[in-house]
Amino acid sequence: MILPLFTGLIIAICLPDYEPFPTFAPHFKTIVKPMKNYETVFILNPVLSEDQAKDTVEKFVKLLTKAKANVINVEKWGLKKMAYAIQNKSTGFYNLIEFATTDNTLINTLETEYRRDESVMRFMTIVLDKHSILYNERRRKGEFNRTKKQAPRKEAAEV
Amino acid sequence: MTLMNEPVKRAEVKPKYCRFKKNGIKYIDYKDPDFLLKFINEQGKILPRRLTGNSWKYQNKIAQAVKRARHVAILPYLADQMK
Repeated sequence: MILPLFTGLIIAICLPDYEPFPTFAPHFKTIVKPMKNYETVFILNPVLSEDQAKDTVEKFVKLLTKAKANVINVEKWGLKKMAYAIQNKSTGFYNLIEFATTDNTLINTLETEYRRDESVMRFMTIVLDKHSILYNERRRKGEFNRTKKQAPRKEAAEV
Repeated sequence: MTLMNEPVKRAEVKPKYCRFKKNGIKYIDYKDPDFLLKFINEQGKILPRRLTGNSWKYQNKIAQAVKRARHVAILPYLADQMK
């Protein structure tokens, strides 16, 4: 049982152009890290002034650019009403950053930074798959403001 | 009594279909509360698949999107009258 595991390793060392990821030997540690797109939403305290809110957003964008992440999109939705109260506050500054990086430890550093900052009331970071990347590209162009909402609404009447 | 929960005219019942498969929607955005409202009831609960007609795959994505929206306070965890 152990033998087939090691044969892969021996062959790997002998080969000059060895690419461990993804086909040859998936149990090896990957050397080439894949580029991944992420999207992070965070809510800032409404007690802040608008300038302060802008500065905190810039702080997080800087943190990402310093770590050589490719910042694709930064959106400030402004002061929005929340669906329920967080920290006894009913509104908050919503912000969205979309970025791509190969460094998978960057999310941890970003989120610890969120936790340290007292003005961040809530945050969420998600990985984007290929469909959501396409969707976000179209969303940035503003395609969904009209088309997408109309199409399913007709069906809702039928159901 | 046996017919109580069954439709009288069976021919009139339309077959259910998955709107995502039919329209080719691949990704469900958690940032769009108006769209997600179609899949939750007045209390903010996620509607079951037997009512929405979604396929398993897209029902899971709906659930994921609704839960994400709840976390960032775009949708409520519980509500009295949403619609």
